[in-house]
Amino acid sequence: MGLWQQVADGVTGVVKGHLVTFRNLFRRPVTYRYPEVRPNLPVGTRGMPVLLSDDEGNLLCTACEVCARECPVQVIHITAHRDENKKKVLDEFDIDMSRCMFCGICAEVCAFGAIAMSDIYELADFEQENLIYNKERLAELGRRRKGPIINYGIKTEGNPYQSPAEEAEGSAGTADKPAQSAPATPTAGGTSR
Amino acid sequence: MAVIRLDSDVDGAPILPGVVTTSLQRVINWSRKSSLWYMLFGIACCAIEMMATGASRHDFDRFGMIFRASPRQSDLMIVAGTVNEKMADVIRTLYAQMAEPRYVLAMGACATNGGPYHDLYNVVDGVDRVVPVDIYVPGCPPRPEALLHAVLRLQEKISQEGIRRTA
Amino acid sequence: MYLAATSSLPLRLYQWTEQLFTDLGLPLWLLAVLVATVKAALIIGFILINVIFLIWLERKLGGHIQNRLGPVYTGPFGLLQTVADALKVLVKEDIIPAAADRWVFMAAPLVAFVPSVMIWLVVPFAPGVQARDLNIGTLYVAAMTGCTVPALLMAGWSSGNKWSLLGAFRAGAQLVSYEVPLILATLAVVMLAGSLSLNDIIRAQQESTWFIFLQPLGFVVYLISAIAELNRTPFDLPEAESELVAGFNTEYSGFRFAIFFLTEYANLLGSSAIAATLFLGGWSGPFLPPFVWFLLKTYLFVFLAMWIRFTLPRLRVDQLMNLSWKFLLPVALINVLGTGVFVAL
Repeated sequence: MGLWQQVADGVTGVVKGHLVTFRNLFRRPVTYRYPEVRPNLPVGTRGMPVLLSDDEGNLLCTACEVCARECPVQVIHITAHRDENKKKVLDEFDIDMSRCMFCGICAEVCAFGAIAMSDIYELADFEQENLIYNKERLAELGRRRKGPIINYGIKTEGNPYQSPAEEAEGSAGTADKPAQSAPATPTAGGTSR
Repeated sequence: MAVIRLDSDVDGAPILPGVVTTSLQRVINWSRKSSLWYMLFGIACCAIEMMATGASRHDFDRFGMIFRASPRQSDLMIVAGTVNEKMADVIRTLYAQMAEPRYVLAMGACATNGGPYHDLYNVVDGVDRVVPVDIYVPGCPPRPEALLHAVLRLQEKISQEGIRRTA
Repeated sequence: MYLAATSSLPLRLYQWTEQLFTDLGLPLWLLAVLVATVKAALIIGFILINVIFLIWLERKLGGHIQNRLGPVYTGPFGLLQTVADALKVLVKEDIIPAAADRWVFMAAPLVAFVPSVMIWLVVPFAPGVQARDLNIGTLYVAAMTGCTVPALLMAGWSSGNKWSLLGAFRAGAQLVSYEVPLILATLAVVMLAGSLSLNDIIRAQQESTWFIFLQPLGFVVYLISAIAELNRTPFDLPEAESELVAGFNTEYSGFRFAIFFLTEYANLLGSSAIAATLFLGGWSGPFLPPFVWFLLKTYLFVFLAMWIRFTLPRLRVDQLMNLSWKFLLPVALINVLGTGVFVAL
């Protein structure tokens, strides 16, 4: 390849590159504005594990401790005592979210379907201690379930973190918001799985 | 000679109360929170997620966050990944090189408390054993939205600070 | 006073002040100092406002080229982003490393900033609106751009940091190498206009046509060399993040870094203004006021520089040197030769 060929190739390459960037300058940005537009995650997304309750609001957990034993990072701590009928009663159920890998094994091994992976992921906190979720907090999050349990996962409504815009709208608007933004997110529409 | 200081005292009471102090404080806090330049380094798999957050789809630049390679010019250190004993010294040096006000964001389980590697001999169980951490982000790794949420919460924290950072 | 030549309000203001000075019995050199100070303040104000806009524009443009949004939360369209950045940087801790050569370290940003402002002495904003119409305008500009090298070397050497030093060496080598084709490209324009004065060059372009049509090769050489002089992205080896942490300004924090940042963009604006004057006819143009034409042409060049920045990847050091000495220099020389023949005919 001669020198002139090289020069010509270089110039055409540079010009072509500039045309590409110029075209992209007028293309619609692919950015979606997170605090205003929230992703509509499919059911079965491995977000934060939560405890599920039955219709009366009692936890489904029987304190069998299978999840605690199977947990690869050993973040589940369960204490229980036996009542007069020798039935196990759950005293404490802590998950240390700061170490949790969100692998979903706890939900898979649970024989009673008492744990499910929710679509909650906004967990950042200033104190590490606040990231240890106890029985009450996990159950409260589990009661926000919306729709069926698919792939050991649930969807929730009324997410703990609301952007200022959503807060102004009031909590009623939050449940519909992800559905409206569905076309903007490629992960939307996983409920059919 | 009386020294007029515009920042708050140790106990939090403003020495010079009034409009000037609060509005100056608010403007400076606004500027600090709207231009959190983060340091260009990632340690492990969380860094991939951090890069994704910086890229077009999630775009850190919306919040005025751009990366700076030099610790002298960066405000936020995103510790993205497993901190092992060798890396701990480097992180300590980098933190010492950063100019005040500086913030540290522990991203992911490993940086928060060792994560899945917490019982390994060569892993520091959390970057808060090396440098003071402002905010922890759980996840393994966290979603880009989770990281953005952490940044938003950090911005809330910054907007409530005094001019001279006491922490 | 050249500033007061055509526009009537500054002229009347000047005459009034002169009258005041003679009435009060003040010496006239004091008036000259006052006028110079006012001019300097106006120019620095112009630079600062434009730099604030430029940095925002760069981030927004870069964002949209990469299909992102760029800053959006600071004011409308994120327009106040640079204000936030500047404020934050100003109140940030100012670190002078223990290993640094203290005085040189502190002086370097200022030494870098001064030439970037000095360029504006000869830039014609509009007919008659110019701080000083030097008859060696282009030569003066070339000399001033050359003055950046010692500042960068000072910054790199005094930091006491190997990355800074390497970055400064690269900057020095690069600036000296690209100064040559830059001046040769300017020389061809000067040959066409027959004058070194920037006003005469604009007048010559009003008589014939914009020199970009007579000097397309010269414009390309000028564009490439100017971007290399500015240490902007395809040629940003002096501050290559992946190789040298941040180059010569690695150790700078707080407002000293802000001055370097400001200098970078002031230089971009200055080079763009000179390019607009040399190749695009400066302030001359139909319908719109001359100052608007000047800004439009300047920002066209700024846009070109930003477009190139967000398109091309960084060169290697040897490629950089090859481009200058083996490609741009011969092309510029041939261009000068051709222009000479054209002018002689």
